[in-house]
Amino acid sequence: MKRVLSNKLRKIFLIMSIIGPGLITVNAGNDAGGITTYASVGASYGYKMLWGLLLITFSLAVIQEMNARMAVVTGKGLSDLIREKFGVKLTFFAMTILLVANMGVVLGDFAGIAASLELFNISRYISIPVISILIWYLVTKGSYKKVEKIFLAFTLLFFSYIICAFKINPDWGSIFKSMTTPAIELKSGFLLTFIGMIGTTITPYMQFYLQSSIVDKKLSLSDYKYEKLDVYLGAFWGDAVSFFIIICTAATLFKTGITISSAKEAALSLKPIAGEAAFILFGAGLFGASVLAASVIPLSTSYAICEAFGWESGIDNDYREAPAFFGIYTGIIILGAVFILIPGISLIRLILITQQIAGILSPVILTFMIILINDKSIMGNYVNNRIQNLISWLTVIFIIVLSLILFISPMFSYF
Amino acid sequence: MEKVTSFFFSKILYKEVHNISGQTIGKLNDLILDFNQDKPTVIYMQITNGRKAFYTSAEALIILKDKKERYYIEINSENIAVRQPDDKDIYLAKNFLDKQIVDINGKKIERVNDVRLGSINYRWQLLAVDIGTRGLLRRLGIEYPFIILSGAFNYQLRNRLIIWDNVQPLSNGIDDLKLHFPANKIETLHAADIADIIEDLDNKNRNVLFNSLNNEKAAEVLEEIETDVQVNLIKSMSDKKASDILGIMPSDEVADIFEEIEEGRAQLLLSRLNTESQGEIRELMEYEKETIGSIMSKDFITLLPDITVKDAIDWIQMNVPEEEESHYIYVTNNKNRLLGVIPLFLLITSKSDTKLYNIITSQPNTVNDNDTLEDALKILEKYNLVSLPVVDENNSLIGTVSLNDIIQEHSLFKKVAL
Repeated sequence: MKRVLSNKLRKIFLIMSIIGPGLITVNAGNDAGGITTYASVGASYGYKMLWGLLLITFSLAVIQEMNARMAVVTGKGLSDLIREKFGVKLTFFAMTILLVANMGVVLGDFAGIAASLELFNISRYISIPVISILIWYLVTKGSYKKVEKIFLAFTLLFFSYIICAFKINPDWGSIFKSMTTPAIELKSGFLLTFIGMIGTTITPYMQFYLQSSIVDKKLSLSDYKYEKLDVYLGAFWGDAVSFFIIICTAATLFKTGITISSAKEAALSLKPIAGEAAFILFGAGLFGASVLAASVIPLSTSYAICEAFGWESGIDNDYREAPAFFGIYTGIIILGAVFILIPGISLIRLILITQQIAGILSPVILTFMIILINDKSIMGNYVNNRIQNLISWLTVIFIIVLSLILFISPMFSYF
Repeated sequence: MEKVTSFFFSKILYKEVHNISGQTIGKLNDLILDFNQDKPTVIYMQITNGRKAFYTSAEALIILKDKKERYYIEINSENIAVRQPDDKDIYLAKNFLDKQIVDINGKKIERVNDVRLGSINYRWQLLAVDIGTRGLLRRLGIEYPFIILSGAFNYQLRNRLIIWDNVQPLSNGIDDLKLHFPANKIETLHAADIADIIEDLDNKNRNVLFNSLNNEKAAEVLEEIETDVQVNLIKSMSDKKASDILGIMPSDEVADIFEEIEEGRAQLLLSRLNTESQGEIRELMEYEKETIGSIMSKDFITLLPDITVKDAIDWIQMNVPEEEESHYIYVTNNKNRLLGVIPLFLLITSKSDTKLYNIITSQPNTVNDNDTLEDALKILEKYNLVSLPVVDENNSLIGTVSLNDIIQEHSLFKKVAL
């Protein structure tokens, strides 16, 4: 009897330990870039982009499931697979794209750190040097895992958007209608915001990060069904939070015609439930999310690049054993911090632009992924089915078309 | 232009191939190697012309280069023999380049950035594998600018080559390593090093490499591997292979593995072992975690008190027990009650006609099977021992527990706690 019980307990424990990477990845994806982008989507365009969010939620779920499947079937990270299939030149190209996109996202997160602390009247010239040295130290000395949960707890504050959305009692009918009726404006402002929304939801770094963290769990194919549940759950839960941010900002800021140009306006959307404390709520949440992402992304970038080129990696090594690994990691943090300190830079604008860059670059990594997952010699019987291919290719084509319109439309406006 | 006798594969890959009269017949797409030789030998080349690919013998392959390091590939034969591809072929670019290998010398997994080929007795052979950054730069076609650049900083950009004798290839789409790469170099490494390498690999490579080991080595390696990976390996093994390997391993290790895998499979594998081990393993699995019983070893030497030292030494020389289980000789009566302990050192330094009961340490330190690891550790530390006899409530000897076992278990707990 005792054995039977302990076996059952072990099974539950196993399932709980499998559920995790997907949820954490999407949660970390709601970083400074995510929060600010969704807030500006709601503030500038109301409910108009909700249909897009709904569609990319499905894309996100399909794409993350592809990562999970590749991780479980091959046991290899995404950059390992890219290198083995495409050789040095294309790997170099993919890693350059990844580095640029991730550098942008890190910049956005450093901007988030500065913006959140400026709400508490702390100058960026103090906050950025202190926080970036702290992050660098915590991660390289290996004590980061212990403090990770604290920052993760900060991000729970964003759940107040859900409460807020129900408290202001928006017009659910028109919300539902906007979710189901696609509307698009062929203006560069709208297109950029839309691409930014895609970029922050399907960020290139997430694919690398998610796949590696599932590989690290060393799951076997028989546990795959739980992992699948994890990534689907993660995608829908993560985007549910985004959905409520858009609703809150649409109902408060869009109605009164306030567009977001600094963290102050973004915080206003939480006023209905927090009153004057909205600044504290928003500031603390933004701070936690930014620090979390600013710690994870440089590290995951460095891992991905070193993996691809066969360089020694891992924080267990010291600087002499793994110079490339620490070099890339340190370089990203220094560059990110220094850029923010350039006088006169608008933090919110910077955050939004970096997400748009990530959005424009995301089809590149997605294309590599789709080719890999359809290769029978790598995936065997676990290649994509037709629906998965349709959704992932449509996502790629949709982003490319949007980006093309974006670049072409200014030319037409001269005529 | 001059003929080269050795070169890097990336220098000729995807370059034009010319026939004897200088016409271009296509691009060199890949080389097919025979790994059954002492050094892998190039036997065929795959040449593509547009979308068509054909295969031709590499015997007449000549590589030339000019002063500017530009390479020229020529097939120096009147008739270019063509053959059909075989799915057992191993390709250099497709199955080897950019993939992982084990560096036997450095005991580490590395990635193949480039390959050095050389002409030996008029045949092209694989001499060494390049794992360095310079190899990467060469593949990108920016090797020379970087040599000049690094020279300006007084740094010499060196190649990092591993000679073929120290390279163990991995799966990379090949399911049976032994069939394709007969020389299994990995077996020369210590089991603990092989275990580390296997832990670092992905599932597929892991299974293929593990399956290439002989059963004896596989059992030693499996013992050293961390639990998650152990379980995955057992899961993907056939029942026969698994029970063969588990049959060689000590019962306590097998019991640990059975606790982690699915119960039905554990029962099935257990039933395939011999009856003696079955009993031992069942017994060990009954114990709670963190008790001595759960980690104790069932392999130890017991002798009767009235035999002589010479008899004892003869027995040891005849039976050659494992070193781990021979630190102490346990002396029991015919009802398996523990009478005393003789350290091996004392045994070999005693007169050969002495009876064992004259030299035993009677009332030795013991632990009970339900005691905790902590209890055993205290006694081991206090009396400077390497292992302790484990007795049940009737003072019958049922196992031994070594310092090493406790340390391993202890570090495992620490890992889980983090």
